Amino acid sequence: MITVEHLTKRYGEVTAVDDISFTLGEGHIYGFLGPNGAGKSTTMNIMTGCLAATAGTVTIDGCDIFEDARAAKQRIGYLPEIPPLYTDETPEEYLHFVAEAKGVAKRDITAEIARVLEETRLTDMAGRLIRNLSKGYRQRVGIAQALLGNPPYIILDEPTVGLDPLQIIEIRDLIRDLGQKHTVILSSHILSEVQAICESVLIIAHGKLVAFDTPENLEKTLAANNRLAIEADGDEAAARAVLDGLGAVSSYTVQPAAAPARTEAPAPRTRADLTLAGDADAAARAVFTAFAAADLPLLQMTPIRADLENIFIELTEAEPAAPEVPEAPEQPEQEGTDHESSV
Amino acid sequence: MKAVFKHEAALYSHGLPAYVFGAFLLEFIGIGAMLYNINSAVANFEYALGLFSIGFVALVPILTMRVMAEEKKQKTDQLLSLLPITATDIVLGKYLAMAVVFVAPMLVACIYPLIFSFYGDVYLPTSYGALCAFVFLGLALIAIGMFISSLTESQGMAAGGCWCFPAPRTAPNCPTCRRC
Repeated sequence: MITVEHLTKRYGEVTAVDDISFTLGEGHIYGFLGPNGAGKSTTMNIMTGCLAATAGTVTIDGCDIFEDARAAKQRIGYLPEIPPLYTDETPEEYLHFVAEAKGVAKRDITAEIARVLEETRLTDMAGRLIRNLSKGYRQRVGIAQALLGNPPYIILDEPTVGLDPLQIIEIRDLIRDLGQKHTVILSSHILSEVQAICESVLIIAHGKLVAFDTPENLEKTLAANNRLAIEADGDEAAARAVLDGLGAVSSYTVQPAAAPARTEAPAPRTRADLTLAGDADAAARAVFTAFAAADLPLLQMTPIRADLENIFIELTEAEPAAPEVPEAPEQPEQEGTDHESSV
Repeated sequence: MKAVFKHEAALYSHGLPAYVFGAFLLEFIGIGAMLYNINSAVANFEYALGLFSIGFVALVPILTMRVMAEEKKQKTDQLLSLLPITATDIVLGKYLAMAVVFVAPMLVACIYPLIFSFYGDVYLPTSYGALCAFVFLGLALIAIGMFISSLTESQGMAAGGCWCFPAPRTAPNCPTCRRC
C-alpha cells in the first residue's frame, strides 16, 4: 500500500503540490490525470524519492520514502517522463547496471535481465546501442529498468508520449499485462488512454487532488443524468413553441442543425439540449409525445452522459476547494476490463 | 557503491577521456623527466613532477568535467536518485572510478625512478615521497573537479571552473604564485 499524507511541495512562492493525501491499494491500475503543470510529475517524483517534499510523508508498504529510502525504493519501479538512459550502452549493459544497483543477487542478474527483456519484447534489441533505438524501444528499455527486481509498484510518467499509434497500443497492452502482477500508477493527460487502462482515476489540478474514484462513479456522481439531446425536423421557432409549454423540460438550448447535402430541398432542422424535470424516462416520453402532436418528427433523441473528458474539464477548470478525499475505492471483482478506447 | 564504481569504470574504459588523460599524464611526466633527469643529468625525479603540476591542473578537467555534468544533461541523475543507493554511494563510486583512472598511469611513472637509479645516484625515498604527494594532489584536484562538475550541466563550464579554481594554488612555477 502506498500512503501519501499532506504532501506539499513549494518552489519559493509557487506551490506545485498543495496538501495532497491519498492511499493506493495493491493489485490495481491507477491513473493520474491533470492538465500540464497540475503537479502530477512532481507528486510522482516525490513518491519515488527523486525529489524532496516541503511537507508531508510518503510510505510504501510502511517504509517512509525519506527516512527509509533504500527499503522504500526497493519496492518501486519508476519510469520518468524522459527515460533516463545511458545512450552509449546497450540495453543489456544498462539493465545490468540497474540490476546491480537495485541489489539483485549476482547469480540471478542474468536471468532477471532475460525476464524483463522478454516481458518488454526487447530480446532482439538487447545488443544494440540505446542511441540507435527508436523512441518506442527506448521507452521499453525504460519500462524494463522499472521492472528489474520485480517491485510490487510500478509508476509510469506519461509512458506513451511521443509514440506512434502502433507503439501506443503495444505499450498499453504491456501496461495491462503489468497490471495483472503489479500495482501500476500511470500518469497521462490523454483521457482515452486513462479510461482504457485504469481502474481508478486521481485527478489533480492546481496542485490539489480534486477527485479520486473509478471513472464510472465519477460519471454518476458528477454528471447530470437527466439531459437529453434531440434533433427535430422543423424550424427553430416551431421547436421553441413546443418546448416552451412543456412542463417536463426545465431548461433547454436550441440551435439550427445542418440538413444532409444530398436532399434536393433541405428542410430546416433543429437541435436542442434539454434538461428534464422529474423522472427522466417520463419526461422523455412527454417530449416525444409533444413533438409528435405538433407534427415535428424527432429524428434523434439521445441521453447526454458526461464522459471523463467533461468531468476532467469541469474539475480542472475551476479553482478547486480541496474536498474530503476518501481512500482507494473498493474495486468490484471483474473478470476483465472492457473499455472503449479511441486512438 | 560497487555498482556505481563498476559502471563508471566501464564508461571510462569504453570512452576516450581516460586514455587521453593517461597519455597526456605520462607525456608530461616523460617530458619533465627528459628535461631534468636525462638532458640536465639531475638525479632528483621530484623536479620532473614539479614541472608537470601546471599541466596537471589543465589535465584533470578532462577526467572530471563529465562525471556529474553529463548525468544532469542526460537526465540520468534521476535514475541514480530513484535507485536504492545513497548519495554517498554515488559520489564515492564515481570518485573511486576516477581515482583508478588516475592511479593507473601513475603506476607506470613509478617505474621511472627505478630506471634512473641504474644510471645515477637517485634518492628513492624522496622520489617516491614526491610521487605519493603527486598522487594526493591529483586526488584532491579530482575531488574539486567532481564538485565543480556537480554544479552545472555544461561540461565546458565544469572544465572552466576546474581550471580557474585550483590553478593559482597548485602551480609553484607560476609567476602569480611567486608574487603571492
